Amino acid sequence: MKKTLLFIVVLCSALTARAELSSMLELSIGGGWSSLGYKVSNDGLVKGQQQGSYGFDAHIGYGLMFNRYIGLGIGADFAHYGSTVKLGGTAMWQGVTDTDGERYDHSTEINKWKDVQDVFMVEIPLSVYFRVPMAGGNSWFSAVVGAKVGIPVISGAKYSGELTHTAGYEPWQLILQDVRGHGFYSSEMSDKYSISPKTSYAAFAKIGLETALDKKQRICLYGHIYATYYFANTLKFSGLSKELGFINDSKDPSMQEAHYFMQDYTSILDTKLVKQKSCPIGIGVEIGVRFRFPHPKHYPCHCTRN
Amino acid sequence: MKNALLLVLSTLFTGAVFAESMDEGVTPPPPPKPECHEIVYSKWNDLLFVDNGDEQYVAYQWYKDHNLMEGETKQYLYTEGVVLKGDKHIYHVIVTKKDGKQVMSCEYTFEEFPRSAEENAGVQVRKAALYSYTGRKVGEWTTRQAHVDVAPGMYVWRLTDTEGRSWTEKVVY
Repeated sequence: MKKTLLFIVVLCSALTARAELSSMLELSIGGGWSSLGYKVSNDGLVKGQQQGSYGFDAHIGYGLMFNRYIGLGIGADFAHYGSTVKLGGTAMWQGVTDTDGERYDHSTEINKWKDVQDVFMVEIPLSVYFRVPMAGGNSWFSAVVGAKVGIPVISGAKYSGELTHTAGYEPWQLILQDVRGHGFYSSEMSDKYSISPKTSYAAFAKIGLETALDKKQRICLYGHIYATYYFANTLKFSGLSKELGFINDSKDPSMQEAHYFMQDYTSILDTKLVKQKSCPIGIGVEIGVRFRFPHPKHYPCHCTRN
Repeated sequence: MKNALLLVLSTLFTGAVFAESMDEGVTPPPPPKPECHEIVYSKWNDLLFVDNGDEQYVAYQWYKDHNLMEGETKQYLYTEGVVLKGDKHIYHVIVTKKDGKQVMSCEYTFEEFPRSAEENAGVQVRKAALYSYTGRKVGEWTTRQAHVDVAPGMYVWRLTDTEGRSWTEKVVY
């Protein structure tokens, strides 16, 4: 650690020795796709798919440019990461006993099932800026790489979907459907639940173009494509790894008794369909503006400015 | 390990006797009824269904007191909140087989069935079917006695009397 700090200090000293220092204030807003970065698997006839969600990133930053080409920066971002899991197919429980004491196969068809989680983070990025002039001298190739700390500030989750319970009695080749009194019915299920994201660490990169809006090149417009990847687990998982179940789709105790063999549904994150590791990802496009403030040059006292 | 059991079906239900043992009656035989099939059974107290274990039926039409029940064309008859048990009505179903032929079920009266031994006296069991607890049909008998090899475990008898009423009895062998 000490060696790293020493390296940074030496690098900064070297860069500023013959520097044309300037400060830079930048503001940007971007949007694209994001994901909380966990994997969802299938379970028998139930297909699970993690589709991500929208993403956005609002950024304000201060940069210290050592020369025309390179600089360091710090800032603050407000960003969104989210995931949407879609479930479809049929969950099966074979050889269960109905309320009449007879064995049957219970099927629950899952339709339009969505489980959505949203996490809003305040992020503190540390950036390294690179600029390479392009032909004409008024535009630059621009790149930023760095690391950031993400602190969750707002989070929420919800699920909704449709279920159809049916019973199959093999000896009689009998399928019971819409027999509500005995646990075979269609229902809509939805609820909100809370998630527990935690502070984590990410790397990010941006690449794009920057162009000056004025002759003195004090105000520049830039556009980047960006990517952010969190290395550490960001969601706190319950560790339950439950079988998929929907016993709580009815508040009626007799229905819950009929579905005694099921688990309750609290979140897709509590089921065994989800591998319990979450590394959020965000990719998108941002547009921003940079204001440059050249530092006044200091001349040695024995020199005379012409 | 399997046990060879001598199944004395008439003792499955206290006081029950087989119909064929009752043919020494002194009254003249009733007029012949149209041929019917014992394919209707009941579950809970509110559902009738057709046993299509052989997968030969493709369409159903239910009748109540010999009147067609509009829209009741499923393999089962159920209306939420309507208890059939004890309603004194007569139900039957006409099923269409794969070959297009139609078959009529025997009439089914979903009466509250007597449960005590005293009340059961005189019940005439016409058919007995044995199912394993996993739902596999072990066999079906219309005779007074039968031999069957069964593994130890829990089984379900589905018994049908001469009136077409069915009920189940769980047993452990």
